[in-house]
Amino acid sequence: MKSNYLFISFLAVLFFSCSKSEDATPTGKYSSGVFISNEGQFQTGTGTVSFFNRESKTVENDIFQTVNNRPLGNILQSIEIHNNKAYLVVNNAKKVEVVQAWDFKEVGTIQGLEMPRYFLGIDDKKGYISQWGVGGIDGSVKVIDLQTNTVTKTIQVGKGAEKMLKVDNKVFVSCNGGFSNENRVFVIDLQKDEVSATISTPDNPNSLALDVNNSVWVTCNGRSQWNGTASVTVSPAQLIRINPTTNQIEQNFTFEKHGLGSLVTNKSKNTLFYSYSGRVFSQNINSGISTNPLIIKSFYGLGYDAATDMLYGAIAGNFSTNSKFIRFNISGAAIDSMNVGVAPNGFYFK
Amino acid sequence: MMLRFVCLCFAWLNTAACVLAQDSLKTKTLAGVVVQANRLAYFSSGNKIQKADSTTFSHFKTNNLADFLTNYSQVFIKSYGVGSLATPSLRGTGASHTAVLWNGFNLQSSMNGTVDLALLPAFLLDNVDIQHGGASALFGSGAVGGAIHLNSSANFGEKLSISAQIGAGSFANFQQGIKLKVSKKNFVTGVRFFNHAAENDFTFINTAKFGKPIEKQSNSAFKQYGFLQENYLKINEKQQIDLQIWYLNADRQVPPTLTTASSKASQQDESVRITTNWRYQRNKASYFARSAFFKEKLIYQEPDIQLFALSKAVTWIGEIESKIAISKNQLLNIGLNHTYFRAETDGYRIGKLQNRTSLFLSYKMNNAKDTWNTVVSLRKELIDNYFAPFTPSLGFEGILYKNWTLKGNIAKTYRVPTFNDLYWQAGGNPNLTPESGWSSEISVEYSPLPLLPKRVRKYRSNIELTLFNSLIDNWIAWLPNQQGKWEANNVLKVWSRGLELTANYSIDFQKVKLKSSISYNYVISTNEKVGKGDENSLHQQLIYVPKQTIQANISLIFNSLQLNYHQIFTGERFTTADSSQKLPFFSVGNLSIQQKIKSLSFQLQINNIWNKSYQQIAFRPMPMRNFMIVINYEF
Repeated sequence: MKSNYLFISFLAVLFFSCSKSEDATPTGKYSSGVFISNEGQFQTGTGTVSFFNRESKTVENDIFQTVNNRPLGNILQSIEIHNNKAYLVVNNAKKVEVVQAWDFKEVGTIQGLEMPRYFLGIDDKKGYISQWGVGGIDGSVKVIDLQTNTVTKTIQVGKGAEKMLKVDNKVFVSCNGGFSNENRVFVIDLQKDEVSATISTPDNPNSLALDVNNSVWVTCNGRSQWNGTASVTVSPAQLIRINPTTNQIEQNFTFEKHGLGSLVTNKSKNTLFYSYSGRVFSQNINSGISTNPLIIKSFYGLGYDAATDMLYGAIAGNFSTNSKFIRFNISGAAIDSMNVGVAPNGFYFK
Repeated sequence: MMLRFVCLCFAWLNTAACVLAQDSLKTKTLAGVVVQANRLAYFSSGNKIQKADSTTFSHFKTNNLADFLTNYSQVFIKSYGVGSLATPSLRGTGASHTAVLWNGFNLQSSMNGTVDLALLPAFLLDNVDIQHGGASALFGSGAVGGAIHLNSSANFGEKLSISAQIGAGSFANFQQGIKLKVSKKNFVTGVRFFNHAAENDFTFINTAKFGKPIEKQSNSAFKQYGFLQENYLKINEKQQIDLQIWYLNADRQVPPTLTTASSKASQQDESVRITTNWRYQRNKASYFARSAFFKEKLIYQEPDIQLFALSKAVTWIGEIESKIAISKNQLLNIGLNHTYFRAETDGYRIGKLQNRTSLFLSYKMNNAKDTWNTVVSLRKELIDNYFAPFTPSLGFEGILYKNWTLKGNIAKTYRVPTFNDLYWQAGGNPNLTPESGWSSEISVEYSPLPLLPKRVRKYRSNIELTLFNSLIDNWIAWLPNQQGKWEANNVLKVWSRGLELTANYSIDFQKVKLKSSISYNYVISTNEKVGKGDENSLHQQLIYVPKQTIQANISLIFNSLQLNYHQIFTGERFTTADSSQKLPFFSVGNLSIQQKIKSLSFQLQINNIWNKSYQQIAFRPMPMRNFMIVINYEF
């Protein structure tokens, strides 16, 4: 009996907190700022989340552990915030940890995943999680019931299901090959949760961005092969533009070598930023590839903060000790750098 | 005197007399056994050496070498869990800086430089000697932090002996062993078989999961079996030849960590090791010729990431050595070693070869009373087409005053890059040079001999303090280069220093025997030079090197009842090179009770008796309190 009461009161608390969150956006320590996902040490380590406060220019490291008194899990791949909840995709732990975005208190865990990569919120009830699947070659998108944090459906897509982009009632999924190679972008009908089209692309499309004209830009990494001493380009990288209505490729830029990714846009969505061959380039959506790099540095993750119009570059370092990110202005000049956790790979700007 | 003893030694094939004579400064004796006449006994002057006697070793018969060393030695063992990979660290050095020698042959892998101590069952070993400090001049590459010497031994002229043991313990842990030995006047032959399997599915609190659930360890089963076949033959009064064949097969699942969801990984190891040793004794000199052949195979599989990695390695070692008594108090040792390595792995499918030839020389001098001795050793090693650093060492030991002894040693150390460091694609760097450094130490030992009542039959107590200091330069580390690609480079310089304090106390009354020891270690091992971008690690303690550890043991023998208790204390260890993350202090106690009834002996082991939750490696849980019962029958 006693446990019943406890359970009911637990439900009541849950209900209360839910209804409260629906009424108004709650505020807390982490209401405004930048979340940095740090992969953590491979094999035995844990991923961590750092929080950067833009006003005080201070970083608080490992906020998940601090708030919840437990490690997050091995290899934090990405952070996404949807409906005031932060979804922390923990790749090697095969789970997504769900926390309240404003104070990072744990609310649940999504399990039943295999090498999950990214989360995309669809509406109040539904979310998508891309994953590489067993062996890193069984790419799919898992449909998640956000009320129960459970998988309700699996949509098979190409190898290495990676980034997802919602455009009207479609979701574009770039499939970067996982532990193999792939040359397709999948289009999912988000009402039916089914693949409605596949778009043939150059090799290994890995990141996506939407521009001001509602066009979808895709970076395709190209393909390389290990010849025994170095990795040589088999097919070069390409940057393509897709018309989301017709699913047709409308424009195509070819690079010399392989190695293109981390596509982000500026606030007005008319400039693209991406990494190519260990450098960062910017490109106006109406012009061609620039030969002059914006930043001569290799980043493990790239982000654009629309609130301050700054470019953030994550330095992975040695993957075993704490590292940093650097902030740049839009002309590529470094402003400052902040120390974060082990192997930072991405940002969420809030 | 000395010469006579040396001659006696070989004539009697290195029976206890030899050990006694040569180790006149070391009070421990190994009564009645034939000990391999290796360089450790004669030329390791000045190093701190810990010998594990057979009574100490006997209650670890169902464990592996890692378990034994964890409880009994100052070697810090980094274990991934029960039965899982376990590597040694001595005096703040890395896993590949401690040589593990079996019958004098180095077992360190040519591929990664380490020895997995979990694959060395105590059942197959008779003696373990731990040599602290640099010993590269005597034992070559890899003996940087120290060396662990493993020997099996035989007694001539005994009767047939057969013993069998079975054990059963928590988490479906079962083991069986049988030993058979025929011992004649001129011939000893023996064989030991063992089999060990465990589900190892212990429960633990998963502190890394939502709600901190109690979970059962998964994918953690292991099985091991193998045999050791030994033969010792006295050809005549002057010559002896022996041959050992050791086969081992292990199949281990690799459990997940607290921070990963699950694991399907597993590892299969198979090895054949054959060693042979011939010695010939003349008046003033003795000659040795030995050879070893090792064949190892390792398969590591991780289906989740489509990984199936097969590694194969072959090692041939040939060694000739002669020991010459120049005069009553001068002994010279000169030897030549040739080692051939061949290995292939996923990282270098085309097999890689290496030939190493080394010339080594030791000269020992002692005073007339043999209360002082000093040893100079030199080694020069050619690796394919380049030379390893010239490696000298100088050691001394002697009686300072009455019950006080003093010893010291200074030695050059080196470690040849492994095949993985050199050839692994991508990132292996064929231009690596050997790591090299200096190691020095000084010890003072005090052995009080108080007036004892008559009922005391034997008494021994001593306290030993050792200070050490070592530097290893060109330490090889894998770090991302400017293009973000991982690459092996000679980047680090590690400075390790500290102290070791050991006290032993044992006393035998007519019915009761008490034996106890306690060791305290303080090790500061820091990065003094780091690669670009690693500035955060400068002057920081090496990962997984505790600054402080204590091992305490007490054993009580009352008639046929034996009680042993071990307690270890391990200080906090950093898990990142910049000291930003660490594991907390832990302390674990183990109890074993053994009762002999005629030919039967019963042993109860209670491991982790205080039921502590701890981790040796970050996020790898260890079992809570668990039990093991062993029954041994001697025919």
